[in-house]
Amino acid sequence: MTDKNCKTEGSSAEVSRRALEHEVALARRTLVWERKYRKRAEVELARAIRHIERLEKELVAVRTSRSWRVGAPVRMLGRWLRRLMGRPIYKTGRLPPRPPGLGHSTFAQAPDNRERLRRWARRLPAPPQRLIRWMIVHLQGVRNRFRYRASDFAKQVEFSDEEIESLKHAAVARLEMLERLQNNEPVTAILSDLPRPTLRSVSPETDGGYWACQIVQLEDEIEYLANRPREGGGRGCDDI
Amino acid sequence: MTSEVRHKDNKELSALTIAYCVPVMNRKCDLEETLAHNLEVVARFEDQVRLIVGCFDQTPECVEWIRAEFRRPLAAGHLELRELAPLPHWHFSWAKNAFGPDFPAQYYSSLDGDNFLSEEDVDHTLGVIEEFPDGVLIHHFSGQWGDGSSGRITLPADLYCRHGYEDRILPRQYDETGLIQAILMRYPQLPFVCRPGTNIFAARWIREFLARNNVEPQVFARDLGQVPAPANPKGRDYVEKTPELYYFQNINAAYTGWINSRREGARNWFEQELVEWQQRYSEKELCAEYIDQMFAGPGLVNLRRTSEITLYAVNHNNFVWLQPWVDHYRSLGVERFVVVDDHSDTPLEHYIDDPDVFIVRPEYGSFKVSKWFWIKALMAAAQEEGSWVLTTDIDEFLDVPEGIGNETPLETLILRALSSDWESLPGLLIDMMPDPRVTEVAEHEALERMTWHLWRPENNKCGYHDYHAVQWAFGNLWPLSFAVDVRHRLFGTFDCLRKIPMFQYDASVRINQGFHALGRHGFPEQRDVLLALEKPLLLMRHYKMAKFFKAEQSTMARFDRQSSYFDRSRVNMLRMESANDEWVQALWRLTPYKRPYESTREQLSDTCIEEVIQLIPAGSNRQSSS
Repeated sequence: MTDKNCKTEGSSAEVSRRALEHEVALARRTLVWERKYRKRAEVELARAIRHIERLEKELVAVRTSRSWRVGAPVRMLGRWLRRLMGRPIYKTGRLPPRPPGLGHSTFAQAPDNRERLRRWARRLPAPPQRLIRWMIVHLQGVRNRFRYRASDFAKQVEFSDEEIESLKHAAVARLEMLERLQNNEPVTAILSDLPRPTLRSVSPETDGGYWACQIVQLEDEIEYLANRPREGGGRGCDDI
Repeated sequence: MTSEVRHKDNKELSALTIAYCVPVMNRKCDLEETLAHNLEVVARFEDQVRLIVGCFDQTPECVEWIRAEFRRPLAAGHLELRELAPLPHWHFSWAKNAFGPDFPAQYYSSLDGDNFLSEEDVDHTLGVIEEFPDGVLIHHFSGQWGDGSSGRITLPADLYCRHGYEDRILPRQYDETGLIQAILMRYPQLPFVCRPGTNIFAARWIREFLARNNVEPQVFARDLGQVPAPANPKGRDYVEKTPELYYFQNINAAYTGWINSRREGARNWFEQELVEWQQRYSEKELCAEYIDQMFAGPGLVNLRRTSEITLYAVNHNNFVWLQPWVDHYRSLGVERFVVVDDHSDTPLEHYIDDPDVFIVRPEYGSFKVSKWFWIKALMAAAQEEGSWVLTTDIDEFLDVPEGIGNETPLETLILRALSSDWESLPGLLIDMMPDPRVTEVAEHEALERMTWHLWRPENNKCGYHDYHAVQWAFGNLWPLSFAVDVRHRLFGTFDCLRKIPMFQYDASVRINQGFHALGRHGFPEQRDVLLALEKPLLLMRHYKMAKFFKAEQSTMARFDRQSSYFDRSRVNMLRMESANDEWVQALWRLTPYKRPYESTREQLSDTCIEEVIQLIPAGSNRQSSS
């Protein structure tokens, strides 16, 4: 009984000792990291302060320069136009895009005033009306060019059912050819003999684009297999 | 017999018009001041009104006091006493939602323990209910914040029982406005009655909510009678003066706005506000102080703030991977695991009970908008600034170079990072695929049988490098992602394969929902910092594709909780789910661009990004890219 108690006490003391050692080790490491972290933070802060001071000086130099003052009316006109076209006054396009999953663009778009502008222009005489119409059409293009990566979606091309079907057939034919090559079976046709529908878009976001993208990738794989050294086997690509 | 009695009881009670519901916890002193007065008022409307006290106390003192002091009102049916299971902490929504079962009246009306009723108040409220026989929502706000009236609402009992208060918000503030928003969004034609001269819709959050969702409530101003001041008035600016209430108010407002919005623009706006408020709160020490108001679970009891290398993750019903995942990271040198059990069907502690695994359950928020916040809040409570943390999903297995001497692999890596002044280390997600000879893989054997991965040469003919998620994550280093992106090869989807699985914690750190990015001090870390060429690229094995090679193909959805993900991920999941299995399997079997992961690991696990890029095979079309 006594032995058992001694053992229990001994083992609990051992556990406590280990726990304390663990705590000490942790504290030591925390201290090391803390010091390094502080030191680096101080260095960074000093660097940042120097950088800000330099920027401040540069800003003052720019704002007091003659060229800046001369350009003021142009900038004012630019701001007015951007406001009219419903774009933020400052170029948000220069900011890094938000990561996916954090929502959409960081800065909400200002309301689009083009329709209002169009209606207002109807009251004007013909020449300024034409100028404003031209401006709306022209700036529409500019707006689209600079919009936050809207081009990803703009690239999507509509495919008819027949087109999709023919793209699918072409992809399946290439997969069969790839299978024959993988199995080292004789391939009677060459790639260029296979019918190849027009690939109007390889953006795989639509059904047609998906099959077109498959065609491109399968052809790449066929070319690779067709050109590989015969004795190299062919299940993986450790050799590429 | 019992059912007859209950039926009879319900029949009798359905004549009641209003039930004033008073939830209390450790508030006997308030009831001592208000209950007798309120029962006097109720007794004057005995056929129409009842007072229900819901008591959440742990001790029987309050209940016994009510039973002893108010025997007659209890017997007469003016007062109903409900003994409810004690709450872990006071939470307005939980407490107010507790009256739903067997609700005895046509209208629910909320009343705080320190609120007084007046005869005029009850009389006018009954008058309004009579005026709008098809239902009405009454807000008893007096126009003065802090006098206890802003939380008082009266609404049809069926709406209260059906919708109730939002119970995934923080414990105080904005519960009643959240309910008003939910009701008005669903029933915009329901008359909304308030006192003349008060306009709750002028307050910022609800104003934004209505405008952005294009809801125009039918507002009617009616005299709702005077009520005495509450026993514990708080003062007009109590929210601004109490930091935790200030954050609770804004987070709850953004969260209820997000969850109740139906228009995409409105949801996005509230989501961004929510992200900002959650971030701000997570940077304060308050967040650590009130961690027990956000989480429950066994892990919370022993969770202390240390510098241990800790892995933070969220798990929902992923039981098979849990033990191998813990074992793997433990072998790398992770000293502690903090796992958020996002309400799995069986609590995770039934599957793992190791002393270094801390399992907590979130009581605030939802996975879609709060996953990163849960993790950040736990870091705030459990992590010393300057220490290193890991964040991965439960099916992601990080491989790092071997440790030097007695150091664990992670210790060696961290010391290397510290000496190089790196605050984070990037990872590349590699979707593991089965050995080409294997066609079926059961979920539990995925780790052993999914041993290959895609490894294809650079090819710019598919426009992959133009895609914005790829550009955003990798820029000119896109061949890294292209080489292993099997989802793009098989399904034509674009996912972000860049991960930041390890970083040095500080309070300002900003975590991305999918762990793809990192920010500090309000700024996102730039791509060229995250993917600095001299940093090692950590390989992360990912086993999502096991679902496509399951031995038994079930008709159930392959990906759980698709609605909990953002648009891009959700669309990708749908696309993968609708893919033809036969086609996908044939593509994988036949593509020559694959290799065993072991070779990749040997070659790349201790290699900097610059060298990895050189090791990616040049495609046949590299000339055309130039």
